[in-house]
Amino acid sequence: MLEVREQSRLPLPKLLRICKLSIAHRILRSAVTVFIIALAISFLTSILASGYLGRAARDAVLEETKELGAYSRFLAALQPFSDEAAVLAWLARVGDNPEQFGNLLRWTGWSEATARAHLASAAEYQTLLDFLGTLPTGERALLVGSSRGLQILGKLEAPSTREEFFAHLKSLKSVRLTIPPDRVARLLNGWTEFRGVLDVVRRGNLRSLQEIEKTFAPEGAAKALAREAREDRAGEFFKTLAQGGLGFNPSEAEAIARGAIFEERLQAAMMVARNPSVRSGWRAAFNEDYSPARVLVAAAESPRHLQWIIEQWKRDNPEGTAFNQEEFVSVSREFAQSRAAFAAEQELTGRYGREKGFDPRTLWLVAVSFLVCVVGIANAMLMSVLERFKEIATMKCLGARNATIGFLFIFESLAMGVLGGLVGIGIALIVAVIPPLIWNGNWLVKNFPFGDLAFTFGAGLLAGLILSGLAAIYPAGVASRMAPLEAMRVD
Amino acid sequence: MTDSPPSPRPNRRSPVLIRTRDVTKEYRKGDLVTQALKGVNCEIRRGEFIAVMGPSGSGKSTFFNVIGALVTPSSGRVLVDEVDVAQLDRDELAFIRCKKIGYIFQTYNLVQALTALENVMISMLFAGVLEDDARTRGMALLERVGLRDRWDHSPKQLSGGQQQRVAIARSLANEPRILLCDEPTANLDHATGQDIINLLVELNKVDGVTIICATHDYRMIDRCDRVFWIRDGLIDKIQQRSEITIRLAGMADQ
Repeated sequence: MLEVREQSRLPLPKLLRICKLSIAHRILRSAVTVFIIALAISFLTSILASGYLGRAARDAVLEETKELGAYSRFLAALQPFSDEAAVLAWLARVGDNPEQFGNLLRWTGWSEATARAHLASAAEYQTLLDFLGTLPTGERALLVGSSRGLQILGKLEAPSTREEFFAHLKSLKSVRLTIPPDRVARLLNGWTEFRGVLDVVRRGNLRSLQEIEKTFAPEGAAKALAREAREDRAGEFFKTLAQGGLGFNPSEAEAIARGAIFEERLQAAMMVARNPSVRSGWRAAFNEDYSPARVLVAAAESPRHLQWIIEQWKRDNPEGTAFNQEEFVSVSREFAQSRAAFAAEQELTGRYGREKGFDPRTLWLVAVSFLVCVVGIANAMLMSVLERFKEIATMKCLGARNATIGFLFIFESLAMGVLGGLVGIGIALIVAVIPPLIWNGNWLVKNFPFGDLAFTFGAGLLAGLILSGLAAIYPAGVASRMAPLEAMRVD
Repeated sequence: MTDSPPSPRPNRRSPVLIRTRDVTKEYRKGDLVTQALKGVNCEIRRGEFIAVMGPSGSGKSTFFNVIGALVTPSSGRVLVDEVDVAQLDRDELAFIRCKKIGYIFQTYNLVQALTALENVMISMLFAGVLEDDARTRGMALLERVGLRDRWDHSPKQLSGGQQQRVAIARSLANEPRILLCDEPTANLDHATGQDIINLLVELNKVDGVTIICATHDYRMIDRCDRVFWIRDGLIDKIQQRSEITIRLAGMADQ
């Protein structure tokens, strides 16, 4: 029967209109269905969106405080390693950083291959240590007594203790060893030997630092850097430093140099804040606890405070030592800003966590919400199908094909899915996007993740479509298989 | 449609529209097998007005549904316009139902979410008629059943008789050869039922539509050409209108 092919599908606009009318006809149930979808979608998108927002704000903050961060890392690098654990942690972090790797070679005189092998071992030891660190305290005490940190590795080197450790570990149901036991055994066997490696690194580092100290005596490397940077000769300084065995990558070095200049200016400003009259008169004048940092922040924010600070300076320096008010205010401002940035970074990390993506618990919750959503939609659609049996059968009598009827219901569900997705995105906007904008507006506006949020909302809409599509499969199947004979039923 | 000249009354030379050959239908419920039809043979000619009568459980509904291509028989042949319905797949059946047969139900069965005009248009859209053409023809059909000014009313805003008129307009949308009516007047009051009967008779006499009507309404029997009496899964007897008129007179005398 070739003629059958002439029978066309219902045109799309008509299909949409019938769906719209059917939804409107059962407005209350449709609203509940849309609401269920909206809740599930808003849950998903708000979690994704707050993760992106948190990271974006944190990135903005870190960018803001990059120079001070680099400078403090530079100061830390000028200090020798405090203990073996610090050496191990440093080795585990070297990775692909060419400057750090160069430093290591200079300190130890190893060949590149040897160094790489040691770095790999260090990373493994660090992983093992991290794992031991994640054990609940009680269980760790049970396994290795009161030992902590690297002591644990030393303690486990004795074969008898180690066997006991593995036996305990197996019996503990709540803790799973993520590293294969034979690899752990190999690592533990080699621990004494590896301590020798750590010692070589530590001594090499110490030698190198002593040499640098000699080079820049008597003022020290930090002061030398500030002086050189002020005169725009930081490049020379870092070259000397690298020859001494402390290389930094060029962009890091630039940030360090700027940080050093700011640090010097900050120290000068702090001198003002530490003036005897300021220190003694602060509480009486403003009824606030005194600290140099607080004085600077106040100077940045309030002209009244600034005026008072200048007066105190004049009283302490009657012979008229120059006070550069403009410089003082600008340093205070920068200081206040970086302090706010640090505080914001702490808060953001606290609220959103440092990890990317979903943790297993959240993933589980999202999955459950989706399941509930699918079951809810499917239930509502099935109810709609069963209650409209006569209408469906009549349409079949009028010549609707099975596929047409199926499409009708899938379309209806998809329409509600889109609607629910949009409402869900709206809810997520209100719940997850606007509050962080109010709390951390400054940092977010600097680095607003438009792309990531668009992706999130797109994903939400898609999820709504997929959920409603999945949920409609069974009800649409029931509808499309319904016998046209049902139209004759009288009840 | 209204312009077409009155068609001649069907006679022995009119072509056969529906022909059944040894049609049986069994229903299984677990081990229980019910024979609803036990080998039905009949012929219905173009332009006839047939009433199907029979007590409940007689197989009347099954017979009615089999010739309406709503139920496939267990064995035998059902030829609708020379096509064996028993051999068709479900999309081909949908096509037959769409183009060749119009259905009228006891409970009207309008799609509640659509207006009167849209209800009439929907079967044309299923048939692939362009929307503008469907709208023009839909309005013409509503005019034919006297509901032109009610085109944008929803079924809830229409009375039972008006809904049945819309349903009749809908059943005529694709110019079917056959109109299958399942107790079309059972849910209507006396006067409204009479209107519907008059409309059906007019469609039969003026437009030459073949009408097959399951009914208990004696007024309907009064206006038909032949009556099929179904009993125990078989056609018990087929009577001409002339025979029945006498019987009705007899009933009136009692």
